[in-house]
Amino acid sequence: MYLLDRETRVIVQGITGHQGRFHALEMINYGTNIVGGVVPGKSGELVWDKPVFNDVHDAVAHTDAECSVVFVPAEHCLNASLDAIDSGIDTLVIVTEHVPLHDAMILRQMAKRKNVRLIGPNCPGICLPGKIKLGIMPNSIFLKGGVGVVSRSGTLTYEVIQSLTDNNIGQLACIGIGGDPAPGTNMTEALMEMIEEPGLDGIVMIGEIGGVAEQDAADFIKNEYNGPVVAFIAGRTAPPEKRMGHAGAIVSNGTGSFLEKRRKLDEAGISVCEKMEDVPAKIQKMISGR
Amino acid sequence: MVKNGDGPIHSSQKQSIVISTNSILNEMKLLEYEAKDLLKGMGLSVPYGRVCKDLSELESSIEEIGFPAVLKGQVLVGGRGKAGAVRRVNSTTEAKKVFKRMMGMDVKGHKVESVLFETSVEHLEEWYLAITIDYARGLPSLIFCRNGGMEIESVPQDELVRIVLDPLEPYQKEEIGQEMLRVGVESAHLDVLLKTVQMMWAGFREKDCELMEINPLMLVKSGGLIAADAKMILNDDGLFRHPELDFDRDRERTTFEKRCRERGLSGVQLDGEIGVLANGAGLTMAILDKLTEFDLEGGAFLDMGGSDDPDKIREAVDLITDVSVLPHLKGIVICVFGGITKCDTVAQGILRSFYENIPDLPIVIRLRGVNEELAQTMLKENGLRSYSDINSVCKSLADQLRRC
Repeated sequence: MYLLDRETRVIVQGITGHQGRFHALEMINYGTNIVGGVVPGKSGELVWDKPVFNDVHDAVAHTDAECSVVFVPAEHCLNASLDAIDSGIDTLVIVTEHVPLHDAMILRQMAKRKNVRLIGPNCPGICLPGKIKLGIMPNSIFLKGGVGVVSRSGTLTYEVIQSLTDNNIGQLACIGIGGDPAPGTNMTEALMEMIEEPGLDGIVMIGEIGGVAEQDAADFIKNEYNGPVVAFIAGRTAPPEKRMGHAGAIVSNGTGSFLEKRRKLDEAGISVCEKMEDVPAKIQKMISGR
Repeated sequence: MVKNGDGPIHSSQKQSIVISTNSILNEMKLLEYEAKDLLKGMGLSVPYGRVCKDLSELESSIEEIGFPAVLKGQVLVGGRGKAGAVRRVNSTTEAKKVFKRMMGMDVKGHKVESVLFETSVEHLEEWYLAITIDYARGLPSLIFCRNGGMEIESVPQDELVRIVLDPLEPYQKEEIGQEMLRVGVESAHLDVLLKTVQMMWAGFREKDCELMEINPLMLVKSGGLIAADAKMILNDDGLFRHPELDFDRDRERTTFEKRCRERGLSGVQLDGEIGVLANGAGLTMAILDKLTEFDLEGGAFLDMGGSDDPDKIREAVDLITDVSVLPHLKGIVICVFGGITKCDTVAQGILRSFYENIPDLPIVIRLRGVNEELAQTMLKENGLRSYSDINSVCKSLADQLRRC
C-alpha cells in the first residue's frame, strides 16, 4: 500500500520538540527508516543520530526523503506542510491537532494538485505491521496479518487493533485518517487504496457519529468490494444536538446520526457491531466463511 | 474549477442534527448582532440597528432609529419566531412592553440576554445566501436561492444554486453569475449579488468561518441587498489568530465545560450520573455507549487528550471529581489506552489528585497500553485497583452503585 516499506525514507518535522522526539524514537524502534528531521533554525543538530535540517527542501536534497511525519504546532502547521508538499515528498502524515479548518482545506487541495498522499491532520497515522509505522500508534498493539483497519478515531483505534491482536487476528494495514472534518484522506479514499492491497482478507471500519464519512464509504464498499467488512461506530448513545443551520443540513446530505449510518452500512452488506468487543469474532467469522 | 453540488437535499428538518463531539467542541456560534457586525466589516449592508441589554439602551436606540422597527431576542439557536422572540413594534410603549417580556425569555433552553432593536426593512424579495462546508468534499460550498425566509430543505433542486468554492482557485465570477441567472435573478441585480458573494467569500476565509448564512437577504427598491438576518459559526481552531474578535468563548459552556477549556481539555456536560474521563473523543464516546449496556448514563465527558504530563492528568481528575461543578454524578470511570499518554503518567496524575482530595464517589480505573503493569503496581500500592478490560471496569462500577 502506498508503496511503503522498511526502506522508505522518512523525515520527522518538529523532531526536536517533545512529541516529535518521542515518536521519532518509537518509529525508529518499530523499524521505520527515519533519515532526518526538519526544524527551522536547527540545521546541523542531531536527534537520535539523525540530522536535522532547516526545511524540507534541504532535507530532501540531502537524504532523498520520500515521506514526512509532521509534529509541528497548529499555528505553523500550514507552512511546514506546504513546504513538504512542495518538496517532492510523496506521503505526508500530519499528526498535529487543532489545525484551523481553512488550513486543512488548503492542504487537502494542494496535496491533490501535487499528487501527494496526505493523511490528517489530527491523526494517529498509518502502520503496515512488520513494515513501517508513520505516526503515533503504540508499537505494541500490532500483529502482522490480513485485516485492513480504517478509522476516524485515535485511541479507540488502538483499542480495536489491540483486541484483534489479542484474538490472533493480524492486520495488513491500519490507517487513522483522523477526526477532523476535512481530512487529507477521507474514509472513502482510504478504502479505495486499501482494497487494492494484496493480502487483504477483510476490513474493519471504526467511525463516529456526525458527518457523512461512513455513509459515503458504505456506498463505495457496496459498489467496489465484496470482501468481509465490519464496522463499529462510537457515539451511538450520545444525545442529539441542536441544528447547526439549514445550509449545514443540505450540504451534509443527512443528519450524521448513528441510525442513518447504520442503515447505509447495512445496505452495503457491512456488519455493524453494537459492542466494541464483538468486532474480532465478527470479522473472523466473516473471513472464515468465505 | 467551480463544480455544481449534487445529490438530493435531505428533508429531515424535523430531526435534530447529531453532531460528533469534535464538532460541538470546535465551533464558535455567534449571535445575530455579532454576525451582522462582522458582515458589515466585510462590506455588506445590514439593517440599521442597536443591541440593547436594558431599557435605557432601548430608549436611546428608539431615539436614534425610530419606527417601524423589529425587536429580536439574541440567542444561539433558531426557532426564535415561533418562540415569540421576534416581534414588530410600532411605538415606544409597545417596544418597552415587548422588550421587558423578551428579556430573559427561554428559547429552546437558551435565555435571551440581549435584544436587537432594528429598523424594519421594506423589500421586494427575500433571498437565501450562504457559504458552508461541504464535508463530503472537504471544501466550502455556496448556496443560493430566491426563496429566502423559509425552510431551505424544501426548495426544489432546480431552484437552488450549489457551487463548490475552492480556496486555491480564483473567484469564479462567470460561473456563479450564470447559475444565479439560471434560477431567475434579474440581470439588473446580478452585479450587486455577485459583489455580495465575493465579499462574503473573502470574509468567510479571512475570519476562519464554518458557516455564514444570510436568510433572508433582502432585495430593496433601490436595487441594494441587505442582510436582514445572519447566522455565523466560526472555526474554534482558528480563533487564536483573531485577537480582533472579542467574543466570550465560553457562553455556551457550563462551569465544568469552561474550566475544561481553560485547561486545554475537552469537556461536555450531560444529563446522566456517570462521569467519564478518557483519552480520545472516540474512546470516550465508546465508553458512554458501553455504560448504557449496564443501564448507566453519561453525566459528563472529559477527554484528556494526548498529553503525557501528570499534572494535566491531575487537573482532569480534579475536574471530573469536583462535586461543586458536577453535583449530579454518582460514579466515575477513568479509562485510558496508553500511547502518547503513558499509563504510569495517568497513575501519577490520579494519585496526585487523590493525595489532595479523595473523592466520595465510587471510582473505577482501567489502564491499558504503554507501561500498564507499572501503573497497576503504582495504584495497587495505594489501595487502588486498575482493570485492563473495559467491560469489567464498567460492570464493576455498576455493581458498586447497585450496592450503594
